[in-house]
Amino acid sequence: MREGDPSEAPDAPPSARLPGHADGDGREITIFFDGRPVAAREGDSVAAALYAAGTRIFTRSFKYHRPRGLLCGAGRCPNCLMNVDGAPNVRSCVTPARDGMQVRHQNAWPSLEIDALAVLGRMERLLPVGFYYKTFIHPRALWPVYERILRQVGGLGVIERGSRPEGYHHEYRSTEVAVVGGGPAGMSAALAAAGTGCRVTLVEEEEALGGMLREDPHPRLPGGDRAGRPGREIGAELAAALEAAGVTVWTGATAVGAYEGRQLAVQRGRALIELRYERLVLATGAFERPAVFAGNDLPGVMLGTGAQRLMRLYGVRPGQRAVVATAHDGGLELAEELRAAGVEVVAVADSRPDDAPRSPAYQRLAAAGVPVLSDTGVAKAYGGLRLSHVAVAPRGRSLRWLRCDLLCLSLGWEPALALLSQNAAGEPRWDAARGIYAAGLGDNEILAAGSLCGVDDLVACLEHGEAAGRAAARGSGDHHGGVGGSSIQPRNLPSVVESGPSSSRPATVLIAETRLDGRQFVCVCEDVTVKDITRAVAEGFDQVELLKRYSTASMGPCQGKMCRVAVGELLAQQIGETPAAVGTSRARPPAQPVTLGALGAAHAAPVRRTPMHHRHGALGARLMNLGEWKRPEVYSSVEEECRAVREGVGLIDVSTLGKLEVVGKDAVALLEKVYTGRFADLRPGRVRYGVACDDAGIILDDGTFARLGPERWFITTTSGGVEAMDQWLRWWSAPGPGGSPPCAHVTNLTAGLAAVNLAGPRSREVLSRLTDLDLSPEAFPYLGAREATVAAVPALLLRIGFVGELGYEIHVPAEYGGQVWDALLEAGEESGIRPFGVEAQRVLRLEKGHVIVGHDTDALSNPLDAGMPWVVKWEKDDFVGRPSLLRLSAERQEQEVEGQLRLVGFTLPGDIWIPERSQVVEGGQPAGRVTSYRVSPTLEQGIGLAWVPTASAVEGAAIRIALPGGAIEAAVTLRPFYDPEGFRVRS
Amino acid sequence: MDLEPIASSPLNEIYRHRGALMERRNGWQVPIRFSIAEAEREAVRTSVAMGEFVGAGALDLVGSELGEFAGLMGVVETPVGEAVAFESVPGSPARWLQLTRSHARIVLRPGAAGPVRVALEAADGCLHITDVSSGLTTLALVGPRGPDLLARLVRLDTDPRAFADHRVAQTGMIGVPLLILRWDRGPLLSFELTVGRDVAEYVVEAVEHAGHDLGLAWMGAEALTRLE
Repeated sequence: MREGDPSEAPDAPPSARLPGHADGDGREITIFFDGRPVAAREGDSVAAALYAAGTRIFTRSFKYHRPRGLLCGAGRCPNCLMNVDGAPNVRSCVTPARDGMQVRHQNAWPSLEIDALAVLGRMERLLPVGFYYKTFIHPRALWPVYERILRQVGGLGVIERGSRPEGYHHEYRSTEVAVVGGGPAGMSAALAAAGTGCRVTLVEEEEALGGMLREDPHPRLPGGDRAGRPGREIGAELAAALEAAGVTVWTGATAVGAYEGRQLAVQRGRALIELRYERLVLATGAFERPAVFAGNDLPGVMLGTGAQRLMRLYGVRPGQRAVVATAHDGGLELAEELRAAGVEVVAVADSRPDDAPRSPAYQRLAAAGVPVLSDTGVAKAYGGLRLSHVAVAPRGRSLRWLRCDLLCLSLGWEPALALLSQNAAGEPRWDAARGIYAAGLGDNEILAAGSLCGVDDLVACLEHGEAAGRAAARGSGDHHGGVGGSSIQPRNLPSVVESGPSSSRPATVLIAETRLDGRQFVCVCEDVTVKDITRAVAEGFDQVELLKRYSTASMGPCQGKMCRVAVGELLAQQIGETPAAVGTSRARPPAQPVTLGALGAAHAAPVRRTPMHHRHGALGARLMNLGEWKRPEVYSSVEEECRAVREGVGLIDVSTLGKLEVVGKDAVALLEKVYTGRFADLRPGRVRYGVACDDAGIILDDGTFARLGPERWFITTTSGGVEAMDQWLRWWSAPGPGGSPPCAHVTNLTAGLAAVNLAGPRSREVLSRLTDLDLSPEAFPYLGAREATVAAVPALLLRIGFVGELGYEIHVPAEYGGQVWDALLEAGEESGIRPFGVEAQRVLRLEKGHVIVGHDTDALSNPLDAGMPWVVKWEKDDFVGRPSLLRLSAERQEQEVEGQLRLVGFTLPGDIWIPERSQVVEGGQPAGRVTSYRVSPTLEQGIGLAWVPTASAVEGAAIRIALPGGAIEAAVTLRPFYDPEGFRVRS
Repeated sequence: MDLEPIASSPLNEIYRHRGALMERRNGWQVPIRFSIAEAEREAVRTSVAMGEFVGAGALDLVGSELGEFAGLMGVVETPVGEAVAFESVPGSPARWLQLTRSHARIVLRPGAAGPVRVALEAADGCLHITDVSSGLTTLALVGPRGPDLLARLVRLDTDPRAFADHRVAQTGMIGVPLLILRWDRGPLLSFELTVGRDVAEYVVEAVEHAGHDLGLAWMGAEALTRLE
């Protein structure tokens, strides 16, 4: 580049605003770009404000750190990504400027103009396509270093560590008809659907409705009331009609994914909305596509619609001297518009042949002295930090160089297929007539309308949208027209591949026919060039999906919008096939970039608290998570808490126990069916332990059964098993085919009852201070159940004990839980009562050899092998799991089954600590596993439960447990470690 | 034993942190006011206010003879998913929520569950009544922005056009079971959310978080009573 070339200057002079633009003329505001104040107007996009202030470089590219300027100006390409108010990768061209907004550049250091990492642009040879598959892989140990460097060098914006932006959330909305796209077709569809009485939600990405109408100052309708009126007026009229019709309109809302189950994901501000619909109308429109030629990524090379948006929406002049490259009359109209905005149009390069029909626009340009070069394409763009001139190549003639600071590409349109093809029944297909890929047809829940279907005439768009809206309304329910959903087919509507009106915007050649030296970018997101694609295909990646993954073309922020067609065309050229044959890669969600904050906003992790929860905190308990429950793990020390229970009295909150009420004259039959034990012979006022198995005889849950009346039962389950047992009991109480429902009803009372276990030799004396109930062993023996008052609160008392001491499980209405807890602690003060936590409880129960279902058992454990054959009552004719358990029992008696394990207790001397889940080994090979282990403060030795080979499941047998330092020997016991006769619990 | 039981809402700790004025009513500690009464009324009119029906009674009726029993109670035939008002005993207003064909819930004022249950237990046949009051917490969300708030928490379509007045649904909310009832107070849009007592604090914290930018405010028993 020559010294003093204006293209070395990163910025252009600030441009005066054009008068009379659509949304501007608002009050003046100030935004800050890299700390520098920039004057803006309300209604500006961030990019428009910066552009008006002379900014031309908006970001640096992903790989080579090349300067990039506005390209599409409509939120579809990656060229304007910036950090806005701390959020990285914001599309500044569609983000409204707000007073005081802090905008910072990203992916460049120290500045956009002077980026040290631009040196990577000179290292292309070292960074060929797929280099990351070939380099940085040896030696493996260095990968963390490589990764850190690569992440510093590559990538886009950076999330500020420690920042936790507030306000991101998920929403769930529903509608009958959802319409995506607030252009003429979308608005027309929404109006038509709303006119039938449907609930309609319209999703529009821009901040205002109107689509192309919003920008269009030209008269668009040939007849009727709207004839001769500018497009923007028609758009405003439709928008007002939507409001009057009660349509829910979301502007500034981006539909990012269309999913199965009639769900649309929409980001709106800081909300990620799951919109459920009955019918979806996609009117996502079409967008201009770029072309591939040398230097095509220079700042100053812009899509025609990008330039139009600057002029029409924001009143910003896009350049001083422009060249327009086009293939249709729209490009000629653009040239006129540029001229009207004060831009000098140097020439129009029109790829159509010399003998193509001349439009009125051509005549006007010619009259104004603007050269329209027919049969001419762009060969190369030149410049340093921004465009300085272009080379155009008339077919069969020599190149011409034109000095300019703006090259507008108005070469053809591509349907915005992303959402449609995500849900389409078929792959996108090549439409040779238009040179575009068209989506396969969707199912009957999704309809397409407008430019998405190749319809670009305004009248046709409005009619097309109206037809789609009516069809959607008919299919959205039986109350909006009476036609069933099955009749709604996209085939009923014009589509690109079927009966749609022909487009006046013909296809054009995307790849420059005259190729000059210089990088020709295919994918601007990932800095993939023609050379990269060529090389990848030569390496064998000659299938479009493979090529995508290897080259990363179309895997960047734009998700292929800017390159999909070019990649297909290049691949087709390389392998000598047609674009139709090579196809195109499938669009996947998100169709547009979505903020990570919105994706990560959901945080639904339920927390269950017992009625005494806050008491535990006040007592200094360390809380732990057990499933969804918060439970006190320990208050002071486990040893002290264990000692209190063994020698005095302790109190533990067991409200997390599952609690079910089963009532009805068939309740006994239900329990006999579901559990392995006997219940028919249990008298009211008595409690029994029981186990439930599944059909395969696997232990599902255990618990206690208190018979409170002839037809009324109170059942406890494990804390984590109550929902499953509730459902299991309901399942078995459902009527069989043709049968009448049994009279047995199950109610889950878990949340409604607070429960404590008062345990220890002095528990009786403490409880006696709070109740009038006769607590003597004769009146209230072990395994008894009584209803009485405790601390003036109605209570159910069960004389049972998980920890192996005299104890009372006391259940009271949850609203009184805190009061009863306080009363028990107060009443027990003189007896030395201590609250104890889950850890002490685990030690104490292990001393008794009690099994915790789900901890000591797993999905293969049955009661026979778990050392509980006594819970299976064979004398019952039938219960769930009986046939399987019977078979297992017979097998066990006939022969020793290889690999069969039994759950046993074991002891270790002294205070050896081993982790739970340690392996039991035989001959150095895994033979079993430890499920529970603690050092007992009472017994002063290590005690545990383990699954061991049957041969080792005998009293006194030695087993070996593997530890990192070598295996140690443990002694098997089949008896409880503590009070094996159960004297204390019965006292 | 000389103790007088005082019932506590699972939200008492939250009320304490929010500076509620607490008072004893019907044996319960009840939040009377959270701020000045006018602020609570303003939230009801312009955004959304949340309050708890502290101590509300709830009886679950299950059985195949539910329909006949409803007739005896003077409850008009109620489709599944709808709720009606009735008098459980003379002078005691109540609501009948038809959850399934064989399952209904009677919602009562504080302290009314016991006598009503006794009256109902006289019923014959396979119809069972369980007092589930202790296990449930019911919150009212009153105000025009209620549906916007619910949209952040509940997948169910609570748009007033789809979820009509007196509709009831069993659904889920941020991972926990939810019974939702729309029961408007005159022109005021009002939803009642019933969740398990054990998750009440979790739910309220989530509602507060979701509603902070919607102008969500607490309302005490005084404001709730005025709405009845």
